[in-house]
Amino acid sequence: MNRAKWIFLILAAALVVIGAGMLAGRRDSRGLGPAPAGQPAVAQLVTGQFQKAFNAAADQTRLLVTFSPT
Amino acid sequence: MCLRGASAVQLLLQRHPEWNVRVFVVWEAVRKLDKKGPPAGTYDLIKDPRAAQYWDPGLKLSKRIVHDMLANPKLQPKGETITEKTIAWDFAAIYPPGVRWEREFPAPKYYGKPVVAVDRQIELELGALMPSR
Repeated sequence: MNRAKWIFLILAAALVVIGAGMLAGRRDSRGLGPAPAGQPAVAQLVTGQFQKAFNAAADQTRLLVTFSPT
Repeated sequence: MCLRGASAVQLLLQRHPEWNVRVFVVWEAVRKLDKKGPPAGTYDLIKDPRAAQYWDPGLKLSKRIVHDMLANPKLQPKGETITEKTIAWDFAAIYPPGVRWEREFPAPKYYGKPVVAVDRQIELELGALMPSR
């Protein structure tokens, strides 16, 4: 394999690694991102759906916390 | 401040893996910078599987809480002045089993803010609601 091919392969591998990293830390245009393992998918808050989820857990103690992300 | 509050919540959950608690984490677009959405890694601040996380770019939850508090002043936290411009954020609220959100947002058993400053109190209040072994 000549030098040009090696350079091409190294650059291609670097692009794959960078792309995978970007995908792993991605957030979509709606501000959503991957949820930590074991959690439901991050959802954009819709009041009625949030109310349903809150009431669906009424057999448990619930902690509600709100934050700004910056 | 908020990010440290989120980390504090994760730590207290880590200290009590046996607690039967459901955690609702709502990230709100409070500041201009927030409009782009939580930066990568934000949702990982609270990794506990007992949590469910939401992104609220329109401050819908805050608006609903403020609306209900203005309609029913009994829901307003003592010592806080609530107006139509109030944004309800960086707070913790605890609800015991059985409490349901019906016509208005329910009054919590415990309410405190900012979260990072009340993490110990949150832990005590949650602990008091857990069945003793």
